[in-house]
Amino acid sequence: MNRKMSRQSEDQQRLIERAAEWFNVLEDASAEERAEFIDWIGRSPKHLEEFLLTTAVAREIKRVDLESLAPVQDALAMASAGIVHLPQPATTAIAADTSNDQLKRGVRFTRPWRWGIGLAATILIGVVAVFLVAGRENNFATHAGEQRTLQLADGTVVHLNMRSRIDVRFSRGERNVRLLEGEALFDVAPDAQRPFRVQSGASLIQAVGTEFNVLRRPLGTTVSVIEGIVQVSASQSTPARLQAGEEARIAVDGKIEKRQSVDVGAVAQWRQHRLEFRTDALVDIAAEFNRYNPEPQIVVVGDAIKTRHYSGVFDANDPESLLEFLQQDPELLLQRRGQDIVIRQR
Amino acid sequence: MNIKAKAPAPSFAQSTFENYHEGLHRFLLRRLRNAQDASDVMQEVFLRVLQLERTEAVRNPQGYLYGIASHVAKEFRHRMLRDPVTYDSQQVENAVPPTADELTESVSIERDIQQALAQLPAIQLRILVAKQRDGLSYPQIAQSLGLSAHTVRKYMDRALASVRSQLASKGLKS
Repeated sequence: MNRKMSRQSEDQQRLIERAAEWFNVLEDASAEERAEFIDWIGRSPKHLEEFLLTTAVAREIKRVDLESLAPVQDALAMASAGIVHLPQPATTAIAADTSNDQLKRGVRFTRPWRWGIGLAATILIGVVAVFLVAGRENNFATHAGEQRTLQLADGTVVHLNMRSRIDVRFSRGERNVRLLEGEALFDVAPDAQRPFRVQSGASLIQAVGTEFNVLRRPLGTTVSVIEGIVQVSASQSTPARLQAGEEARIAVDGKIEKRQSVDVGAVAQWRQHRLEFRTDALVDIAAEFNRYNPEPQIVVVGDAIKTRHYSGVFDANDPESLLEFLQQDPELLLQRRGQDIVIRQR
Repeated sequence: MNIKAKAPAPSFAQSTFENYHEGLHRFLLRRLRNAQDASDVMQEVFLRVLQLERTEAVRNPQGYLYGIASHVAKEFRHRMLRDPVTYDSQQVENAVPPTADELTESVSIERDIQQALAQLPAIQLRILVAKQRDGLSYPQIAQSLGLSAHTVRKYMDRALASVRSQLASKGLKS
């Protein structure tokens, strides 16, 4: 183990020395040396990395005010007089703040190391055009029974309800979020330069600084505004402006239906695990409960009853209360199938 | 003997170079401190270097290397930028503010380099000063110190390598 360790650091040491050598060689390297260097770099990513790190160290050394180092002063003092003939001030004079007598010349040169010079010219014309292909997903999801709060880089807070999924993409000019599934409450940080947009199915919700809730359901998206103003657009409709207390439902076909006077407090009730339905479709209600509870999963069969509407306030963690409520509807037949509940037309 | 160094004003090319590669430089400094990290950036740079037209690369190796590395580092920075979550209730332990250490990183690297420089043999320091502050060439330094150019180069290699080594051991410890 120990031997292996020291072997490793020996190799590391050799690599460090080699990289330093190359760095200095390249200052005035011949074509053969440059070719050799390219070969050496191409032999291992470690070579490449060590070389780049060495250049960083060299650059940092360059930034150090050498004269402020006591050992440098000693070294210079020890140098026999006249051997190192330090140059006279030429053009750029910087007022000296050095208190050292031997070095008090009133001038410091800022002569860059040559390795930097001339690179830029080639970089300007020679840079390999590499474009951004990076497409990292910024996907955040919750499982059934799990809620999650995210703060985004712009200060916006997103509460993610259960079994929900968002994709966040920010750029210099835009803040784009896609609600892929479920429900999210957005408390948007104001930034007039970067509109905040939420896409949910066919609908696009745009806000500047406001708080709103977006619920994506099988039959469409519901947008409820708690504070401020948002604009909702969808392919089949003229965009609708929603104010605080207003709500819009956007059907999958892109039709926008605006509803007045939402109970603002009720919109965010899901955060307290309370579900409020107001003439909502049964399939959507079922989906809602299914988000909160891994089991039982409520399955609604048959188009006629999927779109049957109900209103009520439920404890999200208590699907049995919903089932009891639904059992009062003579049109419905509730059957247990394993852990699940199947609802059909009677 | 009076060796007079040219005292160039920072050229356009030089300042462009400095600005252009500042991001890469910061990346490399962080990297110096976290030697164990596997680096996607370095892998990516390496792959792109391998794809280079060889004759072009040989013409200006450093220019190419820096060009590519800067691009890749920038790409990865952009990716970081697009990772927009600063707080996640599911990962509270990740939401700790940057440590004082991280904040003073640039200060501490400067200090470390100064310490490393202070431990160099006097002759290496003198060569460094002659090279860096006074802008002398290797032959000029060799002449002024009564050494061979080869020896001067060796000392320069050693000086750079030992500063680098000391940073490496610091990075591993932290």
